[in-house]
Amino acid sequence: MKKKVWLAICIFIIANFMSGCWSRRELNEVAIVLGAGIDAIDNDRIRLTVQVAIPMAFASGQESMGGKKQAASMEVSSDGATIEEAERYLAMKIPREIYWGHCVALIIGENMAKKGVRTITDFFERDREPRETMWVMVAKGTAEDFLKTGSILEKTSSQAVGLLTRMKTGYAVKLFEFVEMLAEEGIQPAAAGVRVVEVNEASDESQQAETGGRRVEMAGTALFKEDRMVGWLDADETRGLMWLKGQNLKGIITVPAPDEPDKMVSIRVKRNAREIKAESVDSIPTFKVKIRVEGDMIEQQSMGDLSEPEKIKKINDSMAAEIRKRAQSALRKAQDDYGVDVFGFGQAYHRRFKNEWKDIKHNWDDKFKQAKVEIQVEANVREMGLLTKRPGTNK
Amino acid sequence: MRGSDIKKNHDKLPQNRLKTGVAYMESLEGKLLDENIEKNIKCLKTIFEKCSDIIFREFVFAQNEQIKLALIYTDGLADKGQVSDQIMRALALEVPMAVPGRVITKAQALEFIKERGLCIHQIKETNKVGEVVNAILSGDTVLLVDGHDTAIINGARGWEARAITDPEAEPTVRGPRESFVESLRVNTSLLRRKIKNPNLKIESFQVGRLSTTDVAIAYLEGVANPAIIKEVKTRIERIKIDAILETGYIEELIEDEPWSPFPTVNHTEKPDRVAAMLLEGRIAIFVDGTPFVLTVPSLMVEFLHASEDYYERFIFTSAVRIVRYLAAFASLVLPSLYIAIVSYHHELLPTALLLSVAAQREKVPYPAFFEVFLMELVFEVLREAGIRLPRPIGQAISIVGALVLGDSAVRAGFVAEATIIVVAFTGISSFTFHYSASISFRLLRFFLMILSGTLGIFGLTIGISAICIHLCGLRSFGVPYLSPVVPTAYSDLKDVVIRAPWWAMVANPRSIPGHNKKRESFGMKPMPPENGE
Repeated sequence: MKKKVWLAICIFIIANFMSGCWSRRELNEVAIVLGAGIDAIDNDRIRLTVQVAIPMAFASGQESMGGKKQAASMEVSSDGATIEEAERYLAMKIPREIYWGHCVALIIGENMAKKGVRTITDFFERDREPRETMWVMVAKGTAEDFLKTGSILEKTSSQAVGLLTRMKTGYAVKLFEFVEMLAEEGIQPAAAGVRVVEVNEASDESQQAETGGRRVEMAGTALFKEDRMVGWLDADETRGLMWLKGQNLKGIITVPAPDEPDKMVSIRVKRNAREIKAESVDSIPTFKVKIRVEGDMIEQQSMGDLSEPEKIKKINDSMAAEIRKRAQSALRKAQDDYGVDVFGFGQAYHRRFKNEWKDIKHNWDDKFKQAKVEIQVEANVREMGLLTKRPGTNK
Repeated sequence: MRGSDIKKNHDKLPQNRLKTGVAYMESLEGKLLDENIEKNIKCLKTIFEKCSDIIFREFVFAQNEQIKLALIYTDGLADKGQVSDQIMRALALEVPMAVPGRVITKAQALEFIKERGLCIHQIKETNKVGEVVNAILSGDTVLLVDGHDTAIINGARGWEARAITDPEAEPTVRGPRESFVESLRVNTSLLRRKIKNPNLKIESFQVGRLSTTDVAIAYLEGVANPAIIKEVKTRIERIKIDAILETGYIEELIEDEPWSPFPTVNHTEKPDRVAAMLLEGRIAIFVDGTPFVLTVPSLMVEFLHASEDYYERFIFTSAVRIVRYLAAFASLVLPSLYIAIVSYHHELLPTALLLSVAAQREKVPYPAFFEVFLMELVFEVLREAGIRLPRPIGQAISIVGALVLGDSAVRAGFVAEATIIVVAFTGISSFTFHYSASISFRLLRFFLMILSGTLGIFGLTIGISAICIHLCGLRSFGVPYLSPVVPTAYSDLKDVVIRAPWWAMVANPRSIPGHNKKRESFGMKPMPPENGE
């Protein structure tokens, strides 16, 4: 018995130290990738740009000590036939092991997006390090350029766009959602658009020098047909897309005041949902989309007493009209200009007409061009904020 | 002098000196006193040869100067005032005043002295030399009367003892402030004051072949399980050792699983805690000469509870207990979790925190495992020094420990700030619960650190599983160590992580097999009178 115990202890100790801390990776031996960018270059090769965090810049109290602010990230690019190949070339330039676990955003350059993204999404799903929850974005211009742009408020551009998407002002999609849309029938993928703009908002010269007078911002939505990007929606149309997709958004709808049309009333959206009903009229797909929106009044310019039910009804109506206009514009662009069903009407049709779907699924996008879509909006203002009547309200 | 010389000299020693050990005490067994007082005195003087603290006082009886008397006691252990006032003064002066004119013969002397001569509450007679020796060494005063082979043992003990003070190891904010002292009788009296009931039994033993230490077990008859009482007695009687200097000796000699890092015998220095334990059917073991009292059987959860839990209001207590459980868990796994995350599982930290930890680790040359291990060792050294060092320099050590080691180690780039935070928090957490459990957690922490340093969270999981399996197999005097959690006694869960209000804790814990099932009546919850008066 005693012998066995000693043997067990010896085996335990030896086994532990023989393994030699296998796969141990100290934090100061890894290069933490915050954002990855992929551009298409000549000869069907791709250029992988990684934004690697420089940890020292994130240490507390470091800025005041050195005087000169240290850059928070470095961007390194490398070319290859596949992403992994490019990554191995990166290993020659970065002295640390590349660690994908905290990559916030996957930025796809416009060229690459137009060429097709199916070739690049696989790596980010198959490898065990990158998270499926990273944001997929299409950069106007090159991804490399985008990543190299600094941010004043946030330390890196990847973190900046990661936080921007959380504000829910624009359409945003995570990797796994994007890949699902890519794989499913009856829906085409869409991804957030981002761009670099020239501005001058730095407060002093050193900031100016750091960002180069540029910053990153959200810029509409990139629409895909299969895995190829076909076009853009602008910021307003992106709103329409979000209404139609029922995606949760934070935003303001501004409508004219009921009594004084030159004064405006702003409503903050609290909840929104949509419902698609598919029908087939003379074998033409017809859809009835019902969008429900609830919001709170956040600002009004007129002096009228808006707490009266009929006035609220008027506001509701003009809100509905405004939302409908946005949705229509997004629909028109996707349906007429690009002919891609990014809203998922095909899925609704599939659910309703299982058998007919088999015949049309191969050319659903053509069929979608002819589809009739009826948009119905039900908007409601729920709360009036802290004021019901403004001081001095017209009697 | 070489070893062989020592042995040679040793052989030359006289035979009776050789017997000084265990055999000598045993040789006194069966030896009886003689009728001749001179012989008795000579015999005892031989026994106490070179014992300068044993006082022999010979005098004559006031009534009859033919009768020789002798008092034998240990200087410092016997109450000298009592010995001179109530014994010597009475026998040498005052007896004739009580019965003037009466002549006492040698044959009547013993009976007369017992009945009229001694003003001592507690007397005992014996004719055994062994018992006389024991009594003298325990602080009693022995009176020898000429012509009788019987000695009178006077219970006139009185020695310098430490005053009853605040408990040092288990301080409380609310609750009794007294703690046990080194004297067994004082300790049992403290307990008796808590439970005024004849069913509180205190049985005495003497353990230690050389030290003959008084050991007592206390229990509530009708509450404690007789089988466990019997088991405790058997295990104590089994002990054959030269001396018992602390309850720790007994603890190690009677515990169920000697190889386990977990204590299966609880100890406390608070009389109220012992009383609470006895009321739930446990048994207490007192040892003369130490303020620490053992209680058995003990459960794992006891070590995470404080006596104050039962005195403070239950809502607050329950919240504090949850914190204590979390702290106990942290003190066990926090450093290993930190090692595992920093060396293997970077995904587990939010990006911002990871970057900040990464920034701190930039300048550190060692792997996280080595770094944490080193800091834990430093912390253990500081803690040990804090206990051992003389009080006045405590301040200096804490400054050196906290500032020099902590702050400078970070500045010098030996360790990361996060490591210091983890080690410090772990250290502080381990002070939130019972000391003997916290030292076993301290030990296991290193075991888990090695595992997570080599295998990451996988290793940590293995380690925690191993500890759980071990704990499930432990028993303390036949009671599963993890009860009432495993095996689950649902009604006992009222007093594990939370503490139910007193009016809801009607049943005594079932995990301690006792006979008193209910400790209070139903309907004790305070409420307004029904008729509204």
